[in-house]
Amino acid sequence: MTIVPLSTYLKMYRKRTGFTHDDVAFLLGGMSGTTVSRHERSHRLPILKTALMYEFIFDATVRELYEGVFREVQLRVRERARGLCSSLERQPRNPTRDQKIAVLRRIIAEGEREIERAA
Amino acid sequence: MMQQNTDHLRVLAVYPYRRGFGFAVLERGKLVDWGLARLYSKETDEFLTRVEAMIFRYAINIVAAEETTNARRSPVAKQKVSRLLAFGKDLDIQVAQVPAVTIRGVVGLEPKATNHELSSRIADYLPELAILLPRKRKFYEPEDDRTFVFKAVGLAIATLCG
Repeated sequence: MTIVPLSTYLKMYRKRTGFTHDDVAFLLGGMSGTTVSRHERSHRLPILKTALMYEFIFDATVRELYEGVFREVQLRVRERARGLCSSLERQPRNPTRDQKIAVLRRIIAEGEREIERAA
Repeated sequence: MMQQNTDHLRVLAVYPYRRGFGFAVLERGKLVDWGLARLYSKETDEFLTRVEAMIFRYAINIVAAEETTNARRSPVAKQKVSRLLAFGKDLDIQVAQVPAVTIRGVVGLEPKATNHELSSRIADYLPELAILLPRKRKFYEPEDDRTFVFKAVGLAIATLCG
């Protein structure tokens, strides 16, 4: 069993660089240190552009920065993929349907691998 | 350094001192958070409130503190540690007490190694702490507060490895 990841590891990456909230806010532009603190405490999620800026500043993927959020999203998509896959399997065979099913099975398998790794 | 499979644990190590406490949060060999928390009240309630906030923020599995029974620590520090351990038990969280010798042993130091040697060794393992490393103190100078962060990190490492 592994621990449930924290929803964000932004603070860890920021402290590794030695930057303050205000330093990061300056790099992001048009933002205050308080907003950065809210992102770190998961009181607020950054917009896509800000998340990509974090990725660039801290040299870590958004997936690594928001590991907990990623796991949550992955779980949700996997469940929905299962539903879509079973409804597609009931349809008559054609190349598009088969391709979709292959992608969905990859999504489901990847999610299951993550769960096994966590167990 | 990390020998056991401790993937399922997130440790909060707390090292109280006169003006506050050093803390470190460690999981899967990663140092998630670390630093010094200053306390403004002499009561242990503020100390416990701050620790509680960290326990919930990081969903802590183990709270670690130094084994103070035979340690040369102030009565206030000893009292804080015992309150912390009781508090951890109240919250139904595993608590661990690690002797200072174990901390030094886990990072490959002699039991009589100085605090500066301990801090330097930990900074070698965890380069993100290098900026906090205080210079070697003169014998007439008091201990630099930043040393307590290294002590907390050492506690966390010893808890996960021991």
